[in-house]
Amino acid sequence: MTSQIALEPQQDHKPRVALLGEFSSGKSTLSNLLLGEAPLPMKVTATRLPPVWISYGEPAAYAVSHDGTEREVTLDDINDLCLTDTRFIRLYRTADTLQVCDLIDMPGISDPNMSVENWQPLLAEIDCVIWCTHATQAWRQSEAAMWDEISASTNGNNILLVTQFDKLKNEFERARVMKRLKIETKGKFEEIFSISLLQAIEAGDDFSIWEKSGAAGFIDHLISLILNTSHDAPQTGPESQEPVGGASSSVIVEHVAEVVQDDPSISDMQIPDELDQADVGYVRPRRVRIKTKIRPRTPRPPSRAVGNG
Amino acid sequence: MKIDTRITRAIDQGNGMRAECLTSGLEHLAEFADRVETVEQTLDELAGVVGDSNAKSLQRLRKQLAEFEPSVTLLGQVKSGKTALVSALAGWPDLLPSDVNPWTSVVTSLHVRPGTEHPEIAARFRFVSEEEWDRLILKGGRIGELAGRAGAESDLKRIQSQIEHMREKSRRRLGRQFELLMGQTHEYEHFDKNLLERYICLGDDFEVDAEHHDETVQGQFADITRSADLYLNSPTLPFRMCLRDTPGVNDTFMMREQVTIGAIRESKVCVVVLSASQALTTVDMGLIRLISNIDTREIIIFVNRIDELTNPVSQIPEIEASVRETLRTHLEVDDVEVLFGSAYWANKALAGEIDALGDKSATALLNWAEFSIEPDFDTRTPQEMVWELSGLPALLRSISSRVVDKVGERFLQKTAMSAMNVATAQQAANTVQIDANDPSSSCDRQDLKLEFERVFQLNLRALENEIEAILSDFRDRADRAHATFVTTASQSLVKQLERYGSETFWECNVLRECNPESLRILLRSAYRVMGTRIQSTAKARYETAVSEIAHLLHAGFGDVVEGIQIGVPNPADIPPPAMLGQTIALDFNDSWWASWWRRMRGQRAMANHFEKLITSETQDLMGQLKFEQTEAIKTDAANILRAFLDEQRDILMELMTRPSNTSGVQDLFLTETEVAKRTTIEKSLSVFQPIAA
Repeated sequence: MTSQIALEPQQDHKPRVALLGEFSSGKSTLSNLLLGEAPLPMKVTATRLPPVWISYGEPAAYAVSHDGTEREVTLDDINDLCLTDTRFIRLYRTADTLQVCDLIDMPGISDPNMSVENWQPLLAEIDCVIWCTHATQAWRQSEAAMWDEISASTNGNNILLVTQFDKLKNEFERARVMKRLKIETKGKFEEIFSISLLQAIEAGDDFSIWEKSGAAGFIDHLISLILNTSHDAPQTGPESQEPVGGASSSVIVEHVAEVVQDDPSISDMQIPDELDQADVGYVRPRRVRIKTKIRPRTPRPPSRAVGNG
Repeated sequence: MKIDTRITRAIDQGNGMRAECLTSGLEHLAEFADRVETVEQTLDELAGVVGDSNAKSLQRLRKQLAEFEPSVTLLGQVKSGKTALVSALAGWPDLLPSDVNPWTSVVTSLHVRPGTEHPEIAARFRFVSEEEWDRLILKGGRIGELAGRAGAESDLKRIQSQIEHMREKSRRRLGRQFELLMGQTHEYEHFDKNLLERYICLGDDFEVDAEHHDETVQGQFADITRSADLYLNSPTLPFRMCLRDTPGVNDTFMMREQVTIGAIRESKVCVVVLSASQALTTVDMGLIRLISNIDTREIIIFVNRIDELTNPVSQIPEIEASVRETLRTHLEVDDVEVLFGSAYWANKALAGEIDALGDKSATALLNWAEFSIEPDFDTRTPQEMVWELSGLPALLRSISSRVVDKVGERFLQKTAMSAMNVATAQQAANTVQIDANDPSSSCDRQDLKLEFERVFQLNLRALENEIEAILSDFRDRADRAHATFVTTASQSLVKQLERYGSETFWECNVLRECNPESLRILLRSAYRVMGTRIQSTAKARYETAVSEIAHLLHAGFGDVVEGIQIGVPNPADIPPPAMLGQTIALDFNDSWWASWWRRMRGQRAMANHFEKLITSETQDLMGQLKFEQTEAIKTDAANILRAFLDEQRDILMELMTRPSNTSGVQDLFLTETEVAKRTTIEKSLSVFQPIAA
């Protein structure tokens, strides 16, 4: 089954999806899944990076300071960046997902060594949130309280993603956790999904594992949510600071997303999507293909797109 | 109250394989248990050869020793694995019910005793009383207060509605029973998981709907249970111990957090349980700060769930370095013990189910085993290796040494000293009796008694006056520290306002300058100075009292009492300033400040408001520190002197009631008995002396 959604931009930027949650809740792993590669360092302890704003473009990385100046950095140096001087890191990759949205990988909350002041101002720029919560300790008071603080500044298309779902030992446990979360977060998220991120990344071309990991349902929903948002876009979050109506900022970018669902009965035998093997590693979520009719207006948007410092 | 007696004791089934692996780590405790036993025996022997009032003293000591039960509290965030860990520590795999959702809602105390005999009462559950309910609803408990002060009206309302909702639910479910149960206690001779679930597992709040309405299911009484005490035997534990399982902090159901915080005071040794996948969050830090006000040496950090790591060998050192670094930077503590393990592995090893670990867990286990394997592992069974790798022996070792060094040894020392006083006095009593005909030692007994009471009252009053003077200094100093803090914070606020204006203010790091941690440091040091002064003053006063008593005895009984050794009692421990760890709104430098700031924005009287806010925020803390705590210190110091003098009065009476005339034959006969008595006393002194030293 293939559904096609044609888009007309109603806003002058792509939807900006922030990955939020407590530290070590799987945000970075999720960004790896969405990017189809792992550009950022990963640790079992808290990853202490400034927010990482990932957009479509030829691979490059820049440290953006509070006054808006940018400096090219290499990914190897990224751990040495001064947290207080760097407002965020701008990262360009060519992942399909980035053709329809920007991803902002936020620092984890509840990290004693990472002050909220380092990243909270950036929340004003985001449109919606994927909130990651670890299945075995899901949705604690620190998360609930933080979400109450910030959810109002989003456009409401937020997803609660229960990660490390495979850590729960059986179906009964999984059902109970989901049931509790549904009740406790009622009205706070557009949808709740569960996922086993490592399983999803390792799924490769095996659609049944991909589906079993929870990635299929989540990604499908996420993409259609993003595309529909840009399409309807009644309200797109905080006021943009872009000059209104300038010709350069209204370059038309049109995307077509295909959400492919293989027939489950034959999926085991099928080697899908040989057409679209392009340039990414095997971990890329192949079930989502986004075709860009017109390229994004510039490979590197000017810094004003993210605030005036 | 009718109680279902058809409860079977599931835990009786036990399993045969655990004894040989469980004793590892308990060596220190076993040695302590031996010494306690020696002291107990010696006390019994001594009680057989002393006079009535001295025997009473000894019986009191014996009873106190028998009731002495060191306790360990396990704390941590919800779902960090405390319950599974407590079960494993007690040696009963999966004894306590646990669930993927947080549902332990009361503090459960496991009283574990050595041996194989079942205690008469196996489980005791106490329900909240009507007043406790009312207090919870009116004030929302301590966290309610906290939320109220922080201006988060919705939070306070939320807690109140959570509690009110729970109370209504209980009332509806229990009907007329509800009123009857308040303040009651239920006792059972046996217990099993089902019974426990009825009393301690609140279960899923949302699952109470019409079709699930079964009176005997989990959580029947859980919402009205205030405490649960379970009594168990353990064939491997060498000394009795109380293990406390808490509901956990950072739960959206805030009642649980409140219950947990209340339990911190109950134990000298606290194990903070972290989750390996997310070690040391801000909430964990808050918890550690709360406990570290008690004493850093008493905290053990146990990083649980290493079974969920993909590569323990590389990840564990990384986690440890990060935990230590964070503790060093934020709490300036360097000496906390950090242990790693898996309660999951421990329970599997105890239950003899190591084949059922699951693939990922088994992979992690093998990875960890290759790294930490030791030569003598060859001689062990796989089950014993899993037990070792679970980190439980290391945790037991750490708990044992703390329990012994920090609590047990001191208790035993105090007991031995009191017993020594009795024994040396008994030696003197014997001497008095033998030399009773010596006219030079005769004295007016009425005067002696009066004089004793005079010394008693004089020293007690002097002690109280001396302590009051020190406390008054302390209160002044605390007030000065507080005033300095308020002034500094307000001034820096004004300065920053002038420099940056109010708009961008809260994004600046200026708020660090009114970090309440600096106030805590000032108060803690004032408190420490006060504590040291009180202890040395009390010690000096105790010495004065002892030498005056010695004088008195000498005046009353002459040279014959010269051999008496009266021990000077030890001053009481100064209780830790636990209230300093209390989280106040000023601690929330993140979201709370932001919202305060938003409300205040634009008001020029900000500094004034700020000053008022800080003062009201710290008022409760100051009051507790300056008055409640100091009153307790004063009472403790006086009580020790009073107890000591009471003991001395017993001894004096014993000396005075000795007969003054004896016939020659009887004398000779008595002497043989006396020789036996003295041998016993001397032997007891040789036991007590090294312990009391």
